[in-house]
Amino acid sequence: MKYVKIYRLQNGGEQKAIVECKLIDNEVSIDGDASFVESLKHEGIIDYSAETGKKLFPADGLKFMEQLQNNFKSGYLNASAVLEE
Amino acid sequence: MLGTPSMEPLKPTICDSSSGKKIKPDQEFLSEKAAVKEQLSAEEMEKILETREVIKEMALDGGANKSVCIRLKDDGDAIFKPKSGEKIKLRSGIEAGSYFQRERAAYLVSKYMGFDFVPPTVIREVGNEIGSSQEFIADAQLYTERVKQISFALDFDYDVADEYLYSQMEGQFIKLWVYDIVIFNSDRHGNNFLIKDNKIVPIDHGLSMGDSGLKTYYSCYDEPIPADVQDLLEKFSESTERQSQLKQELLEILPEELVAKCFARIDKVTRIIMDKGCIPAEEEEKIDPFDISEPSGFDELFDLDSSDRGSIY
Repeated sequence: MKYVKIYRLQNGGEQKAIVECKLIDNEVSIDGDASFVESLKHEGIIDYSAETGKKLFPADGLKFMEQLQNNFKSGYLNASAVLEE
Repeated sequence: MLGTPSMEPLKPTICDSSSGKKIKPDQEFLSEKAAVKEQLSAEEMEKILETREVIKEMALDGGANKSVCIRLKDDGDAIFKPKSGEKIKLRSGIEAGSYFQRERAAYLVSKYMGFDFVPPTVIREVGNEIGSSQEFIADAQLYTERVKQISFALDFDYDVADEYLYSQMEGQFIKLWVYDIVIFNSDRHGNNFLIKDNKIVPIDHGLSMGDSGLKTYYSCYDEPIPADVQDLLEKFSESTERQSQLKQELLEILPEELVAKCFARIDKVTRIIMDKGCIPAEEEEKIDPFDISEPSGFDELFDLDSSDRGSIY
């Protein structure tokens, strides 16, 4: 199963995994910190593979998962690459 | 960034008095350090970021580009983003390997124009790698975390809580919007600005200073520009010293073409806002992509005349 972990940097320099996105039957299931889950669903993320910078949402499946690490790279919030379990 | 050489360093570890065991020190240590932060000027904070010994490096998982949390001796933490970790080109016209310079450039614009909300950001070497180093803001919330907090506290849907926060912080959102136009940010979203003490703290500017695909959080066309934002634009337009300092420091890290474009945006945004008190919606198509056909009031700074515009832009 493909999955992505999203990490929040804590005071003191440690990271905490706050969200896990899993690809199940071509749909993205998101578990974890409620605030972040809500923002992903409502705000979506930017598709950096498209010149238009269009938005992607969990319904976009693997494409959404692949773009997470390009969106969350500030250090405060980082997303992993798509990993395989 | 906190602490000065003259200040007595805070103890980096503390003990539980009942058990004598060491307990986790970082949060208290950083919070106490944060309390003295405001005593320092931007230049003092930059100096600390540039020169303090790195006593701990914590490589961070995730992110398209490498990031490391570094701890500075007798000081707080910083987010270090090495040039060598910039592997992926995310925007046309913005090459990987230049993100760290854009992080610094965005800070310089904030500093010299008087926005004063981007954490101090410098370029330095850590472990023989060059990159950007930005003060870590302890005890800050990501904006999305604040939205959810409001959503929970007031029993609002997420979108309603977002709009509620806009209404409560409208002036700051408009200030952020103007700033994002000036730096031509192609990457603003709810997870790359922080809220600390009810103030917006923008971060993550590696994809700024481009020339297409402007991405702001809110669009504020036709909204009256707050007096403090008008004031900072006017003061910058009148200060040849600050213009010169900004130009000089930007030219140390960016090609002249990008610096000239940035000044052209500053000029255009300032002129429109001073004239109309807002940026009218009909200007949107001249802002993204930025219309470089009009002469800028700053062209003299770059020895440009009308015949040069085509080549340098």
